[in-house]
Amino acid sequence: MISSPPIELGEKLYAAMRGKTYESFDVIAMAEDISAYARSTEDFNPIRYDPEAARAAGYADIVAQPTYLLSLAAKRGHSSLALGAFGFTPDHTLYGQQDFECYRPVCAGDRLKCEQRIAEVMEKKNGTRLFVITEMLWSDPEGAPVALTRQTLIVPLRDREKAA
Amino acid sequence: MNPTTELKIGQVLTAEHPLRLSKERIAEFAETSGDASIVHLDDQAARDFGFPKALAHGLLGMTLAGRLLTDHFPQHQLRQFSSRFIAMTFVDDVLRCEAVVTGLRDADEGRSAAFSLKAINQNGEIVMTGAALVALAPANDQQEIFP
Repeated sequence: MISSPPIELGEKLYAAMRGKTYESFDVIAMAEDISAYARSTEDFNPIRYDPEAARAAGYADIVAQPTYLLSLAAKRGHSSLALGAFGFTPDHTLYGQQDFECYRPVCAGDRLKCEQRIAEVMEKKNGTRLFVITEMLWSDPEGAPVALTRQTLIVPLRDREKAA
Repeated sequence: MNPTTELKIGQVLTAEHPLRLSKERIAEFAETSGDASIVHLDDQAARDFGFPKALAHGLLGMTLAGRLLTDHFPQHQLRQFSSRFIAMTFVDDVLRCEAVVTGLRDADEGRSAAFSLKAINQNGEIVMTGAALVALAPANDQQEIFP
């Protein structure tokens, strides 16, 4: 069973978590990664594999799925980073929701900067669930935003469930 | 494809192919997604955590919804895309997905369509709900056609 985190929970911790930012990282979207990701999700749209097809559709190069950005962060350990810094581990957390604001598609060769922060921390369901919302802002070298990804992680507080 | 004028509120778009969350599919996605948690790859490990068998990645269901949208609309018209993972998915589940037009709006920045999304498993249970906003006639597209 997903375990309760061995952490002293409360407003003091949540205040420290809110607004916390992490060191940004830079990454290049690689054509072969974009295609491999698409294949692993059974998305066979030619714009994910064939540069000519992508260009014919008006893009600079092959086009990544929106969710591909999350793999770039996960492969650098940034998915679990936000909570790990506060003592939470993946076995404490459930993936509740994922949101994307898409400003433009990501194409092969795109150079991206990712800046991650904790946007919100709140208890819900009579204090038996901790919701932690992290945001990653992805931008190009000119500073123009490419996408905003927002992850809602849910920490079940089993001890409180039992007490309730 | 120019679905701009044809969309109607209540219209349903359905993913042509279901997504089978086979062991191989999950293992491959574990590699490409960067999430190779043991609960996705090993039934016994999943049972140790209290699950009946290996868990599929919630994001796999989201990619099915994404594909439904980007197969129907050029990807640069996708503005917002959200999924809520309301039930767990497991190895050997088969997911289907649909999008329903919930709103059509004309605004200064162009016409857009709002969708509700859902993914359903082989037992008819909704495992994921979501929403999307798609621009239908972006001003810059028209400029390209009429320079």
